[in-house]
Amino acid sequence: MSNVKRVKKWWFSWDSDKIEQWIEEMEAQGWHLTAVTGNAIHFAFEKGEPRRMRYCVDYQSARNRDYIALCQDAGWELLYDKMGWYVWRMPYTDTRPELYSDVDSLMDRNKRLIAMMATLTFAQIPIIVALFSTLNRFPYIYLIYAALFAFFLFGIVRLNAANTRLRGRREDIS
Amino acid sequence: MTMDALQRQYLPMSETMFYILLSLTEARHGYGIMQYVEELTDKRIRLGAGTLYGSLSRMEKDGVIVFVREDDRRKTYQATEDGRALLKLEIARISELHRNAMTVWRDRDE
Repeated sequence: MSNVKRVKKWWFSWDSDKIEQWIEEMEAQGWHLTAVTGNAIHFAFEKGEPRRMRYCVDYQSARNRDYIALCQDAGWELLYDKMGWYVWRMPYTDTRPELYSDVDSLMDRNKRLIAMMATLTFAQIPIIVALFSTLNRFPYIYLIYAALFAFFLFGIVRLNAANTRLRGRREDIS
Repeated sequence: MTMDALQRQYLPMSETMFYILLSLTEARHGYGIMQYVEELTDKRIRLGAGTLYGSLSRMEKDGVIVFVREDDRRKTYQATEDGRALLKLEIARISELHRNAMTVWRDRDE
């Protein structure tokens, strides 16, 4: 049996907790994550002892050394850092550590993702306008654009719904 | 931001904001805040690094805290006059909660 495993796994930016859970389960089975590459969809593992390791995927709108320094001070190890996306990990024994400890900051993170996806969506419009006559010669390109818009719209709707749920939770507490 | 706008945005304060601002009545860096809040609350509140970073950025932008210095990659902050004024208002609000809780609850032995 091989001691090394490479897995390609797609995940959606609005569902980052699913990928966190998946890596944590791999770790619990003794597969230690050694590298995250290629837009954070290639994962390399090495066989070892099962361990309790918390993984957190985060998004910041700009590369930020203050943010990195603070997380490292708090004991997080940086595994991936590209285009505003970060993958952090920290070993633990009983309490599973969190990068976000309150509802407001989780909502802020979701808002950053919404802003990023909305920007990507609207950035397509000038391209379509500028290339209108060329694009018209290949009408099927509009199908691709329609799919792209639907994809981002779906993500924005999902994140909005998540924030509505979080807001409800906060009002229950306070 | 005017004091009115700050009050609307920050009051009543979340526990996270309250403890960060309370910690910054003295100059501290991010990790120092985490340790201090954990100690004050007997480990009940462990501020997440992402939460703390986001809160510090927002508070600095709003002029509630100010950057003091940087040593060894760690940025030190302190509450401004506006920040201290907000904290005073919040402490008055919490004190009222506490007073009323005691008055109403005092005689009940549960």
